Amino acid sequence: MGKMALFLVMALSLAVGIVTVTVNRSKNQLVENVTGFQKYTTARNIAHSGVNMLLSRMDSHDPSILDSLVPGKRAWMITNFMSGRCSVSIQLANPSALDTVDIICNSFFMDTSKYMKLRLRRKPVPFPVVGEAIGLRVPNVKFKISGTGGGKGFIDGRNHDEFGVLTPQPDTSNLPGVGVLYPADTTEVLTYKDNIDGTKDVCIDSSLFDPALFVDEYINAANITYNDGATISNATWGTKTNPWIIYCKGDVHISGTVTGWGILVVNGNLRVSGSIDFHGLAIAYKETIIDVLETGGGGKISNIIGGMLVAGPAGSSFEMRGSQNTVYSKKALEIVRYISKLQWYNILYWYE
Amino acid sequence: MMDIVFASVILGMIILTIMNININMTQENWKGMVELNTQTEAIQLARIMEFDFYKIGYRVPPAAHPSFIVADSEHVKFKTNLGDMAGAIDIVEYGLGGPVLDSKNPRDLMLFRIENVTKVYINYSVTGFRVSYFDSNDVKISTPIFGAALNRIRSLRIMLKLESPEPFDTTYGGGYQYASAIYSKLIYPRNLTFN
Repeated sequence: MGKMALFLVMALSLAVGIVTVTVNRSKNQLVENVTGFQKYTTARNIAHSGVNMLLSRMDSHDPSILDSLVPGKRAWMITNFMSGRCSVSIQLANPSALDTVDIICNSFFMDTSKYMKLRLRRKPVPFPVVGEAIGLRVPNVKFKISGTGGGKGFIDGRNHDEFGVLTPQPDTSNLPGVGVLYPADTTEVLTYKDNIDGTKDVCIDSSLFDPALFVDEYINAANITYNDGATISNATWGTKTNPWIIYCKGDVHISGTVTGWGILVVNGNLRVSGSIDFHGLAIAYKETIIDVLETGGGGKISNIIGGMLVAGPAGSSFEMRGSQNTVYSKKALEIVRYISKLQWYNILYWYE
Repeated sequence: MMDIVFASVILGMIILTIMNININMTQENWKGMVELNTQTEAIQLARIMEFDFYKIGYRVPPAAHPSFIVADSEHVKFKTNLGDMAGAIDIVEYGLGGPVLDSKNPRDLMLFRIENVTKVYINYSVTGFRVSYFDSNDVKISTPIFGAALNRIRSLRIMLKLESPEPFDTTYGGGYQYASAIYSKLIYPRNLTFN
């Protein structure tokens, strides 16, 4: 009888054991399934957060990210959070196209990974259409180019490369030399036609942009700011791969040797007497009468390479007394057009 | 004599108890297996659907908009680029098929997925599949959605209910009991935002 009871107890224990193991195995598999999905969603959340962190850094003009958006470079952001790891890289989609950017994100959580790819288009907000080497948005402008022979200033609307060397001609990118608002203003400019070149010496351009409408964007993103009355004797503003935004809060006198790439914004009178070698867009504007005076030259190939705009009320003046050259360069404008701080990024598509 | 009688009674009670325990544990084991199977299916289905739905509109050029072709409450068909291949447009379709004939569950239906031309029944235990669509203000758009209104879709809520094909309890007075799992998610396909 005792043996029978012992046998029954053992059989019962065995049955309970088998059933318990089976039930536990089912529960474990269920937990594994659920946690597998949890790992997947966590990896995806990490990837989303990583991409958003990168976009946020771009939004705050982080130079470690934005300065890498040039041909041949790539920026990385590797972060550990939510017990996982996220690696996000950003680079130009194609070195020859500055307006398209790719973001690649790989996130890892335990043994699960998630891949995301975004393509962004960027464009300056806003960037003016430059229609002439020098645009004079001044009614009844006082225009003068003085001097003698080779000592005279020269305005050239023909296309040049970013270093100021004339491109092979004829070039379909050539523009007029000077643009004015009204027909009456062309007469005075044409007085100096020997010192102006381009598809036309002067043209009437009623669409000359008003810098006041958007210059705040540039001022907010300025790399360097000069106060009213500043005299700049020697300075280097940015490089070709890292052009700057230079803001002058009032009248400014550039007297020494200044080299620069970028956008020069002067909210006041501009006087250039030294040797300036500036590649990009120069804007001089003022609510009251503005006087732009160029007297130096310094023997550079060209002094302002890109484009220039002067905007002011009737009676404002633009005068060249020295041997300054202002030449149009589509390439130089294209380079400064993509200053990273001024870009507006638009997501084209998002693969996840 | 009395000892034998008592022993027999106790033995009978022990055997009954063991049988009862065995029945309960077997039933619990079966229930566990059925639940596991149902939830596993729900998770697998959720992963497949999320893979597809998050890509709605991916690399679909503006000329090919709207990204949705069909947007109904139990049927959705959309354009995407599943493999991230340049210039490719895949058309993916989800919907409910007919009832599953060899199942004891009277409610389960077949869920199909069509990728371009290949139709595959990806699940046989679906008792509910509903899709709701929302615009950029998160306002629900009534279905079916046609024409230009398809361009208004910015997000969609997927509700999926699965039930086991076999009941885990046939003794319940209210009818057979089936294991069930529900998956519900509001999905914002990123690429719809860029339309």
